[in-house]
Amino acid sequence: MVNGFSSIALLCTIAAPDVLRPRKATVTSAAIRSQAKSPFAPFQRDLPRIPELVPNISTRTRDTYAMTVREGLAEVLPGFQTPIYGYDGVYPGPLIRAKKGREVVVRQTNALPFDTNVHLHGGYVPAAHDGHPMDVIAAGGSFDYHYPNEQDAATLWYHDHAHGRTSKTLYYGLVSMYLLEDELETELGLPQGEFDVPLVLADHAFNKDGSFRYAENVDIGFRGDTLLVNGAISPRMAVQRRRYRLRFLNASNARSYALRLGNARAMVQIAGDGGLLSRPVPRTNIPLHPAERVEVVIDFSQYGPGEELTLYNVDTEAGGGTTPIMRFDIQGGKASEDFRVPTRLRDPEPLPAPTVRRRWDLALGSAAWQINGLSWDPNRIDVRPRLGSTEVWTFVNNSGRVHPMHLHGFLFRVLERTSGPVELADRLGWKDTVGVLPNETVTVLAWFAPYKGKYVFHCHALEHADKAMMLQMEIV
Amino acid sequence: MRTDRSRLRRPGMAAAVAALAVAGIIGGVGVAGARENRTIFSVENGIKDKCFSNTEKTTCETGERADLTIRTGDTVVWNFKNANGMPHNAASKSSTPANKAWNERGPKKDGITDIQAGGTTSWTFGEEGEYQFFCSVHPTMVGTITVEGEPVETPEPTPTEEPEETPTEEPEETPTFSATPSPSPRATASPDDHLNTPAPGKVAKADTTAPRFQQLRAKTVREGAKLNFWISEPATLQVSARRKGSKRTLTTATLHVGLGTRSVVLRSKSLRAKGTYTIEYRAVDAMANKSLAGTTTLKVK
Repeated sequence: MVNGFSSIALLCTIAAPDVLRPRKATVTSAAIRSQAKSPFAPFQRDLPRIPELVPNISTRTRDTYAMTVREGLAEVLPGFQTPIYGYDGVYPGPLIRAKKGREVVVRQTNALPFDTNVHLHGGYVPAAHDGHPMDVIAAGGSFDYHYPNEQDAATLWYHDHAHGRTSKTLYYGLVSMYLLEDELETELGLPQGEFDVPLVLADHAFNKDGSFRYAENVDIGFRGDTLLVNGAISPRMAVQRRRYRLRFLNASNARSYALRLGNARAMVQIAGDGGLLSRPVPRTNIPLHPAERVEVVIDFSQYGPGEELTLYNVDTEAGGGTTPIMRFDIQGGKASEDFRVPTRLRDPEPLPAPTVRRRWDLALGSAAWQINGLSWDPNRIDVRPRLGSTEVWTFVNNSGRVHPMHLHGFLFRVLERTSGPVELADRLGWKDTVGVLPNETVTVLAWFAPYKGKYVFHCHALEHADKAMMLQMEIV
Repeated sequence: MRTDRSRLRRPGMAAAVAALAVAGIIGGVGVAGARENRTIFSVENGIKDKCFSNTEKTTCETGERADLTIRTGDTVVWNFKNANGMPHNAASKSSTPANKAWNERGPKKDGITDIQAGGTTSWTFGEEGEYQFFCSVHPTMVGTITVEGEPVETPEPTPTEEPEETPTEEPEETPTFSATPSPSPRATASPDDHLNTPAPGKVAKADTTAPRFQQLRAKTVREGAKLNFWISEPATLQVSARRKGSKRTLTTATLHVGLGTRSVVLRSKSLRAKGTYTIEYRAVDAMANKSLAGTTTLKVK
C-alpha cells in the first residue's frame, strides 16, 4: 500500500520537477491515522534539536557517559504518544560530542526484554567494542564501550547491531549521532554551537493510535510514507541570515534520498562519512543512501527575511509525504559573520599500495540475500585482510535493489563505478558506506587499520542485513 | 481425533488445528471422511521468477498462477518449502460473495506474523465462492480458489505453522564483556533467539512522575553560563536565556542528563555582557512527562 502511494506521486514528480511545492493536502498515513481536523501538511513543527548528552564524569583525558536502552514515549504526531525503543528512551538518542584524542566511555545498560548492543558506525574502534552482531548485552546486563577517538573529525552515529533484528530496533528508535571534533575544524572556523545542526532522516508509517507501523519486506526493505527529521514530520527551522553547517544522516531502514534545495540552490559539501573532504564541493543534488552522511554549508545570508527555502527529496522513489524533507525560514536582521568556507579543508593521507583484489557478488541466493553465495555465519571467517594493508574490493550488484555496503571499523575510498563517474565529493574524502545501485559495480580501496580482530561488513539495507547479507572479516 | 475436533472452535486451539492439517498431508488421512487437503506451492527462484503453483517445482511458467477448484469443507495448504529463504504469505485479496472471515485473514495487522520463509499455512473453506489470494510481499504471486458445494462448519481459521527456519543459536561465550549480566526482573528466562522483536510499548512501567529539580543555581563561566542542580531522573533539558525584561531569546540549548547532581553549560558570547539575565529551563523524561518551566536569574558583573 505504501508503495502504491509513492508510485502515483512519483509520476507527478517527473512531470513537474520544479513544481515540487508540497500540496496542502498531502495524504500520508500520519494524516489519515492521526485524524487531525485539518489535513496533514508538512512544516507544521519546529525542528527538534537532538539533545546533547552531558558526561557523568569528565577528566583531563576521558569523558564517561551512561545510558539505558529502554522503552520511551516520543511526541511525533500532535496529540499522540508514540512508543519507541530509545537510548535513555529518547528518539533520536542523545548525541555524544567527542574530541579527537580524548577517550569516551559509554556504559550502556539493557532494559529491553531482548539482547541489544551498540555499534559506533564509522568509528575506528577495537573489535571488542565495535558492536559485532554476536557481542550482545543480554536483557538486564550492561557493558562499557570504550571509544579511543584516534581519528579525524567526522559525523559518526551509533545504533543497535544485535544480530537479526536491526530492521526493527533501528526503525523503533535505537539511532543516534556521535560527533567527533578536532582542532583542524576549529582552525577552519566552521559554524559551531547552534549553527552546527545534526539532522537524522528516517521514513516511517503510523498506526491509528499514533504508534510506528512496521511491515517487513525483505525484498525492497521497509518504506514509510512519512519523513521524520530528528523525530518530527518534515519540520521547519528558523535560520539567521548567515552560514550553517548541516549534518545529514540517512537513518532509514532502506530508503535512499536525493537532497535538493528549491530552485536547485547551491549547497557546499564539506564532509562525507569519514570526515572533511580535501576541498569543498558545490552541489545541487546529493544522493544519500542508508547509513551515509553528508555535511553541507548553506549560506542563508543570500536570502531575504521572510523567505522560505525548502529542501526536497528528489529520489525516484520519493513522492507524497516523502518529498518535502524540511523548510528553512529565513529570519530578519543580518548576523555578523566572518566565516567563509576555506578552499582547502584537509590534506589526503598517503596510502600503501593495494596488495589484494577481491570481488563480492551481491545477489539473492538459495537462502535470502547473499554475498558471493554466502549468508551470515558467525562461525566462519570469510576474509582475512592484513593489518595496515590496503585492498581493492569490487562490489558487483546482480540484483534490482540498492545495496549500501558498509565496512565496520575501517574506511575506504571510492575508485570507480559503472553507473558513471564517481561524484567529485566521493573522490575527495573517506567513506564507510557506499550505495551500490541496481546492476552496478563499485570498486573501493579499503584501508585495514588501525585494529586487528573480527569485524563484519554488510549491506546496510537493514532487512537485507538481517536476512543475512553480512560476512565476517578478521584483520590479522 | 474426534474429541480434538469437537474443541476446534475454541480460540487457542490453533496449534492443534495446525497439527491436524499436517497430519492430513503426511498421512493422507481425510478428516471426517469426505474432507480433503489440497496443496499450493510457492515457487521462488530469485527476484524475477516467483509464483504460486499447483505443483512443486523451482521455475515458473510465464504468468503462472495457482487456481484450484475444491469442495466445501476442503482445506488448502500453502507450502512455502520452496521459498529460497524469501518471506512469503498467502494473504486474502478478495472473495465473491464476500466472505468476512477470509477477507479479515490479512495480511495481518502488524504485517509480520503470517509472513514466513519455509513452513506452511492452511485454510478450510466452508462456503461456496471464489477466493482470491496473493503474497503481500510479492503481489505478482496470485491464485484463485473456487469452492463448490453446500456450506459446512469449519474449524477456527488460524492454523499457521512455525517456519522451518532454524533459529541462530546464541554463542556460548561472550568474551568481550567485562560486566556479568545479572538477570533483570523483566528478562526472558529462555535465551534470546533473535527471531522475534516485539514492537515497543509493552514493557516500560507506567510513569506519570515528571522530573524534579533541586538546588538549581546559575553562575557565569568563561564560555557563558553554568547551571548546577540535582535532578530526580534522567531527562532531556531545554534551556534558554534572555535579558531580564526582554522577550528576545539570546541562546537555547537542548541537553540530556542522568539523574543526580549535574551541571550543564550554556555556551554563548551574548551571556558575557554586564547585566541581569533570566534563564528558563524545562525537563522531560523518557515517558514524556514534562516538568513545569522554571526560571532562575544570572547576574553578570
